[in-house]
Amino acid sequence: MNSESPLNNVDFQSIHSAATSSDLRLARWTEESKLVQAFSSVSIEEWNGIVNRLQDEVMSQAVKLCERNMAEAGMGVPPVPFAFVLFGSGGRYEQTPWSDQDNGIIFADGGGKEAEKYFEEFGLRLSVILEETGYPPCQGKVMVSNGMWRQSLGSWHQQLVKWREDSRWEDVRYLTIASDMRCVAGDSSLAAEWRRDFMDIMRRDEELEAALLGNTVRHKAALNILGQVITERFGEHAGEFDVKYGLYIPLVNGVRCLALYYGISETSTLERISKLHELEAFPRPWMDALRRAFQKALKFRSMTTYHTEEGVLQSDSYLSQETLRQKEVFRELRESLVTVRQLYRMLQRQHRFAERRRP
Amino acid sequence: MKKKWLLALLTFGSLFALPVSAFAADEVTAPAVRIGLDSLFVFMAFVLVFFMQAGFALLEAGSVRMKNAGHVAGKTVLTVGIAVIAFWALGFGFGFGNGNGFFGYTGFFFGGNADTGSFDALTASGVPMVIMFLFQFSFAAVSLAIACGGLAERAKLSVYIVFGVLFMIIIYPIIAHWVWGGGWLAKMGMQDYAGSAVVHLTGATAALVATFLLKPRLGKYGKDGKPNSIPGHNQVLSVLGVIILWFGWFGFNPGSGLTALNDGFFGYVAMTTNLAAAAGGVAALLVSWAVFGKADIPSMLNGVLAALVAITGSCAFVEPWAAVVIGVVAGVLTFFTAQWFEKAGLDDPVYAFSVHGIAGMWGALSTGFFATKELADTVAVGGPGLIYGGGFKQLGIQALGMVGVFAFVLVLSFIILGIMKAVMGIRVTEEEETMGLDISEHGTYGYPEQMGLLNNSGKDK
Repeated sequence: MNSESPLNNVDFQSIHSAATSSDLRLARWTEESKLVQAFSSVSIEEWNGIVNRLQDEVMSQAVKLCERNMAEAGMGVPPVPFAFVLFGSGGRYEQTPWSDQDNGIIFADGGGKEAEKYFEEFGLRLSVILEETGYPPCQGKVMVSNGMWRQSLGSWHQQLVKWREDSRWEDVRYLTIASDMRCVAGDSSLAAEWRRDFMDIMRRDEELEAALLGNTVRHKAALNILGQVITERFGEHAGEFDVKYGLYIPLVNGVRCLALYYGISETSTLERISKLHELEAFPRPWMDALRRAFQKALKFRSMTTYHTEEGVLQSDSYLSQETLRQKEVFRELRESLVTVRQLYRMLQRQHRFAERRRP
Repeated sequence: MKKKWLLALLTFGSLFALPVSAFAADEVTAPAVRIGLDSLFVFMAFVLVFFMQAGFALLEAGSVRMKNAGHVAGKTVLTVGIAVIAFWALGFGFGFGNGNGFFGYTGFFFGGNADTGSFDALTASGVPMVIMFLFQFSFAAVSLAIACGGLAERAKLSVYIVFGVLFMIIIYPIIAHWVWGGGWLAKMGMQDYAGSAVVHLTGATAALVATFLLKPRLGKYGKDGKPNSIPGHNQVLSVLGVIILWFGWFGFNPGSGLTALNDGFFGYVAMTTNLAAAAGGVAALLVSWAVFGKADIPSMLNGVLAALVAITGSCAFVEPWAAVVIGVVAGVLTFFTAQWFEKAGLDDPVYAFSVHGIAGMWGALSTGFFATKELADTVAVGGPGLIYGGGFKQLGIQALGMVGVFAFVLVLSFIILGIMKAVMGIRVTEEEETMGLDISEHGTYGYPEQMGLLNNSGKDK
């Protein structure tokens, strides 16, 4: 980042010195507003990086506040070391200023009932603090307040093994969510150990491959056979393009599927693409097209209309009709969607083969 | 005991059978058989076309929300009743009675075959006038059913009564007189075999005006004018409705030949009708799949109906390949115009204007392109179309007829519905529309248990 960059005036100090969740919320909004202003003057990777660094800082400050809060309430200090981890877009280092909560906790073994009780209370309080800081709760309940995503290393292992063995549709979905895990606060060695265990459990076999593909190949059609971009037909977003489910999520899911298949442990989609590139698993030009499409997806995702609501930036995931009328945007969108279509044709073909091989 | 009954029944039956068969045996002449056969044929066509009312009731009821379904299905019976009485009293006379080029003025309060002399336009086939009356009535009732489609889910019940009467007495009979009652379009040689323009475009244009004057249903458009989806409550009913309509169309088109003889020409008409319907349905499904990325069932249903509407006017004048083309064009055209009207802010709940109006216009024009000389000679109306060397003559007549019908019905419907809107009001209140017309107009739901559950779950929140 050069010294001229408008991102240099982002002030992390105000985040670190926030003493309450409302201070934190205000500091977050102030810094995010600066970032939003700077959106068009820096590259999308640079912008995405700083937005995610900011979210990480805010969330680790929230974890600190929560620890302090617990101590003040007479619950003491954490009985065993723990790691606060993100799933979803946070885990992939792809949050927007308006992303919701997808998080969990991994704590060390050996704390017994006492540790379980402590972290249960800790999880409930932390998700409230994060909500007060402006992170809406996750609709799918992938949150520290949900016991399923807040466990000791040992019980995490049992859960992962169970998901892997059962391999029903829902289990495989949980595995793909878990695969985006990234540590933002606490003891990162716990997260590293979790990751080793996960990669071990996810070692490739035909059944898992078929299950992963089966979980991935369905996605919202965003391009019709005439090559036209499909926009919403009805409702308040009629005529607009759903960037999240039409472009971004299909790319994330497709690339994640390939990454898991090739045993890649990176979580950010761009890094996953880079690793696939290094493995030379696919033709280079094709991987380049995929990377370009994903960069556009990140860009479009932040070009959706946003506004401030109760001190928090809010946005929907739609490109407005005015934005779509810009020739350059529309051309880039179409190109990206063509790449998505190629990706899914390939995945669907693999899915057919995998299903046929299945006993 | 049982045997006694049977015996009595047989004796009773033979009492009737004997004199009749003796009477018939007297007159087994060729003309008597021909007229008898044709009468039966036309009567059967009447029955089939009448059954299309069941199709409309199911199609419309399936396409609206549960809270209006009982009302929408029930009003079909009401409008049929109105159609019978109004058409018998005045409509038949205005439409087919002897008169000038614009309307007829003899034969009101139709009294049966004794009034045959008042209906010169309908005597050529030799089919008794009572049967011709029933047959013509069933077509008029279809036109009214189409017109009422545009009123769905927001018009007062009284509108159906008042507008139904006026439509059956003034609007439909005048148009029918122009083309089929010896009026000015008939004299020019306009080809409209079973009524793409007369029946469908007429009904649909009235529906368009109703849709326009009623304004969209509550919640159809957001604050910024973007359309919301208001899906019908039961696609299965709609599908069954369309199959019944398709079936009824085998009376509508082939029946319009008024004869079972003529080397089975009615079979040829049935074939072109069937081809067009199939082509329209398949084409509409494929085009919806191509455009939305999902194969849309309501679009396919509209495609079938649009193709049937389009082939209605041209079924006897065109070759099988042309029937397929006419069907495909109708199906695809309707798909796009339905989207377009919806985006333009015209809320047509059952797509009456796209399906019957746009396809009716295309059907009226289509013989101007595709009519062959041989078939036009067989039917003895008009000449060949553009691509069979007829030049622009027939196409011009068709276009004039189409524009004439559309403009006249548009203006007249505007006057009638406009006056009704000013004098009595045509739309229910917001509160009534929200609670549903089943309750507001009739006091009971078509789906009492389900609506009860829905209303209770609403209260719990």
